[in-house]
Amino acid sequence: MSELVIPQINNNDTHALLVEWSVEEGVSVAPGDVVAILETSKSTFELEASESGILKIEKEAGEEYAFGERIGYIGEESGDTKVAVNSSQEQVNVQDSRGILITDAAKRLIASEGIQLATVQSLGKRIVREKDIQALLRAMPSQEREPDPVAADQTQQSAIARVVTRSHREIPAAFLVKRVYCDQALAFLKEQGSEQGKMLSLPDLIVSELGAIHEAFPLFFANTDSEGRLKSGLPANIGVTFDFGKGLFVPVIESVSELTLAELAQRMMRFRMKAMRGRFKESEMSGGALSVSLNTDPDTVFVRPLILPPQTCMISLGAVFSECQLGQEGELEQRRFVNIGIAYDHRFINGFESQEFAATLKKRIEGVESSIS
Amino acid sequence: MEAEIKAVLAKVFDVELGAIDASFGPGAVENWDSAGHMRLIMALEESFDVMFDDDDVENLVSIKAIADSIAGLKAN
Repeated sequence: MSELVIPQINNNDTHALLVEWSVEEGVSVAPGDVVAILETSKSTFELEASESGILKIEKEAGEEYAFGERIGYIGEESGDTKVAVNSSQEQVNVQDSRGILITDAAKRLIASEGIQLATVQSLGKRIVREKDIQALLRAMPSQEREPDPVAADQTQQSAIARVVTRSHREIPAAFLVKRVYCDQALAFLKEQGSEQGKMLSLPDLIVSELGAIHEAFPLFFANTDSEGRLKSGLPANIGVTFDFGKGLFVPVIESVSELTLAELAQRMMRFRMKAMRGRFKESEMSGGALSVSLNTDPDTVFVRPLILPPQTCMISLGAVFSECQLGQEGELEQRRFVNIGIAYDHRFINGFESQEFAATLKKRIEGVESSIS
Repeated sequence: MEAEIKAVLAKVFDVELGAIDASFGPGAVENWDSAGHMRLIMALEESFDVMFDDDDVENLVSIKAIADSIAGLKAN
C-alpha cells in the first residue's frame, strides 16, 4: 500500500484545498495517473499515483488538509506500506478570468503550438492539463493553430512580475560590484576549449568557481522558509538565467561542485538550447541555492540582479571591457575585465561577508590555472 | 550550401567573407563563444529552415559539421 499525503507544495502555505478527486474510489490506477487536484493560495497542483493499485479515498473533496496529512492510499494486496512520492509534473500558477485552471505544462504547449485561449476555453474543462491540449492538437487541423502571442506573453510576464514583486517585498537587498580582470581566464578557457574540443566561456567558469567556493560561504547558498528562517549551506545547485526571446528561464544546474568545467559547459549549452526552444520542465527550474544572471551582451556594464526568493544571493555578470594601464616600464598595456555584481539579502549577510565572497571569487577567476603566461 | 553557411558566419560574427575558410571555427574569432554560438544556431535555423537536434548543437563548430548536419536534416 502507498499512502497519498498532501505534499509540501510551497513554502508559503501550510494547508491545501482538496479540490476534487480525479478518479473514483475503487478504480485501478497506474503510476503517473492524476488522482486528485489540490489548491493552495498560489497554485493548483496535481497529485499523482506513484504505484499501481486501487484508489482508496479517506478524505472528502472541498475541504482543506495540512501538508503531510494522509487523504487516501493506493491499495495493494501485499501488506507493504510506504509514503508515496507525490510530486506533480504539472503545476498551475495562473487562473484564467473565466475560472479555468491551466497547468504550467499545458500552458507551455499552448504557447509553443500557438493555440488560442478561446479554443482552450471551448474544451469546457475547469482544469486543463497537458494531455487535454495534446488531445486537442491531435484533433485540430494545423491551420487553426494561430499564434496568440499576447496571451502567452501575458501569462509568462505575469509569472515574472510575481517573482519580482515578491523579491522587492520580502528581501532587503544590498548590492556590490567587483571588477574582475579576466585576460588570464579568457586565455585559459581558449586553451582548455581547444584541448578538449569544447566551447568554454566566462559564464561557465564563473558558475564553476561559485560551485568551488560554496562550502566556504554557506550564507550565500541558502534559502529562507515561509517564516523567514534561514537554511544555509545548501548544495551547490546554481540557477542560471537564459533568455533567447522565448521568455526568461532560470534552470538549475545541480551539484555544480561535482562537475568538471567541460561537463558544466555542456549542461549550460543544453540549457541554452532549451531556452531557445522555450521548453523546460518544472523540475529543471527548482531547487536553486543561488542564481547567476548573465548579461554579457556587448557594452553591458552590469545589471543589478534581483534575488529570487527563497534564495539569499544572486550574481550578475556583465560584458567584457578593456582598459589601458601603464606597465612597469611606463608602456601602455591593455587588459580586459568584467564587472561581477553580487546582490545579497541584508537580513543575513552584511557588507563584510559580501566583500569576502566577492574577493574570493575575484581571486580564483584572476588566478585561474593557465599554461599561457 | 557552403556559401550560404559562410554568409551566415560572416554576418553573425561580423567578419569579412573572405576571412572564412574551411578551418574557421570558435578559435578564429573572439566573439564565437557560447553566446555567439547560440546566435549562430538561431541564424542557421532561420536561414536554412531547420531545427537542429539539441544534443548536436555543441558539435556544430566547423563549416563541414554544419553542412553535414543541415544536409542530414533536409534529407529526413
